[in-house]
Amino acid sequence: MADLKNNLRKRQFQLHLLALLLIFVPAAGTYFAAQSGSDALVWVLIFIVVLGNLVAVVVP
Amino acid sequence: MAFFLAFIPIASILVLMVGFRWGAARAGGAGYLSALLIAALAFGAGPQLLGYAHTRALLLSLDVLYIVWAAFLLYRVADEAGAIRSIGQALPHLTADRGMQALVIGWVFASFLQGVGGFGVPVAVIAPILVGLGFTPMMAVVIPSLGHGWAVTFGSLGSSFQALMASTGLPAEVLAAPSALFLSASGLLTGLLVAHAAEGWSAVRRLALPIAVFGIVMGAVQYVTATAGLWNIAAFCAGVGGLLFAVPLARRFRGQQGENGDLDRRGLEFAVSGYLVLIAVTLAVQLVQPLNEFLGQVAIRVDFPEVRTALGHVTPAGPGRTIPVFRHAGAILAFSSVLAYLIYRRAGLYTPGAARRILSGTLRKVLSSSVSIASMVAMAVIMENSGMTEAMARGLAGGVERLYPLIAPWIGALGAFMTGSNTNSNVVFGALQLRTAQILGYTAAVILGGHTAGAALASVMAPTKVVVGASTAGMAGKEGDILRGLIGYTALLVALISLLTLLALWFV
Repeated sequence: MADLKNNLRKRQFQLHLLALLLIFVPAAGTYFAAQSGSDALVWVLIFIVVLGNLVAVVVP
Repeated sequence: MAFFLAFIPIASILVLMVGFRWGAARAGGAGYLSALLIAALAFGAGPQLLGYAHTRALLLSLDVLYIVWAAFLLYRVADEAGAIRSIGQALPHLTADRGMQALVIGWVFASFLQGVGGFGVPVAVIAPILVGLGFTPMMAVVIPSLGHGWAVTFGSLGSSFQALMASTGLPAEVLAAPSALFLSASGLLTGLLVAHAAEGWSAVRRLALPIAVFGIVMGAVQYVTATAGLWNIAAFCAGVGGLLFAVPLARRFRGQQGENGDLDRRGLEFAVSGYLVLIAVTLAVQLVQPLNEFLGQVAIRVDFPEVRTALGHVTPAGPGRTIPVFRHAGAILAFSSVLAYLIYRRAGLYTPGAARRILSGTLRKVLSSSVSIASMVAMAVIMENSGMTEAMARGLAGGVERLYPLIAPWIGALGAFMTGSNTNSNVVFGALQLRTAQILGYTAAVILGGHTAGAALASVMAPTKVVVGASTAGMAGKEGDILRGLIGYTALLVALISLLTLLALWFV
């Protein structure tokens, strides 16, 4: 557990960059997905944003 | 029930940051996840609403982060050239009077640094200087912490103020005057408290004149600049104004030693020159109409349709946050950064690899706060669009009613203390304060002015900032002592804002 935490801490920069991309990139697409009425696509894109936030949560 | 459910995301951020000592990026992510779940499961937010809310949040985040990124870039450009170090080295030579040193370095210079840098820079830069001048490590942290709080909202080149505008949808013309007025008044009290922290009541009495001069000059400059539409450089200009008066005035309080050396005027002039570019560029963009129109041609603007939740909460149709790509305050900062870089480079002030260090240093410093802002903005927009903010505002309005003007600044203060920054507090609580003020019939601009002023003043006590200050003054592990040193002064300042908010509402 401590090793995992250390590894995450060492890669904090890369993980935060990944989190930011996962939060921002799909958020641009949700507008078009909502406009086209594709609920499934909206949920998929939101799920990616959720992943981005989960990455942010696990980085110590 | 709706009130308590709606409060969970904010409560989770506060509990995780304070109780579990999580960083803002982690806690912001948790806040977003809980807001999304509650909005979908308890407030009837469907995929359409959530889809549009995420794009709205993206625009708001970019609007705020544009300034955050560019502001820190400009700071790094100057810092890499040695400009900040030059100012820091020049100022102690002005006077040997300890009270005056505290005022000039811990208040005026700290305000200047907050104007241009922020992000914990004032304490990180000043604490070691004060330790070197013989202040105790505790006072070396407390004095600049206290000294820069009043400049936080319009500091970091306006990041927090931009966040307030973005989260409430109100323009600078409405928000600038009350915010600047409250902060300017607290600036004067800040000077008295800094003198008291340095040498007790004797310093307050002895230095009353310079405190009044610095306080009035900096407060007036910040108020005039902010209300003239130049809010992104308001705290910076206030700091410059204070420094201009500090140089001659501090000489009159040389202290008993009289051996305080000579001021390196050339170094000081060179250091400030990079920032003069910022003033020139800002004035040019604001005042030269053809240039203003030319730069405003490209803008990111998205129109959103009306959306409603299954429970009937309606978000009306309208444009999201419009971002004028080349006329944005962030763009002005970016232009200034490039010009300042070219000036410093031409003067031979950079060593090889400076550009790479500036860019990588900027990216590393702002990335974590960018993640927290992105998550918290998304949380705030989801809460607003799904009716959670409305539910909270109604609960709050019913609970406090006539006491609300007194409480609003403390809500801002609590938000800043918990989330680590004035910007985060504005993002998380801005819309809530706006809606509560509207429900209770108070002038929203005054309440929001009180909110951001309270947040600015209490942000200096945020554990994240205290940790930085403690580490630079060799007080790591003694953060609790610093908090105890700050809490009385900060409470006085926020109490002043509470009273001013109440008074302002009588006069509006």
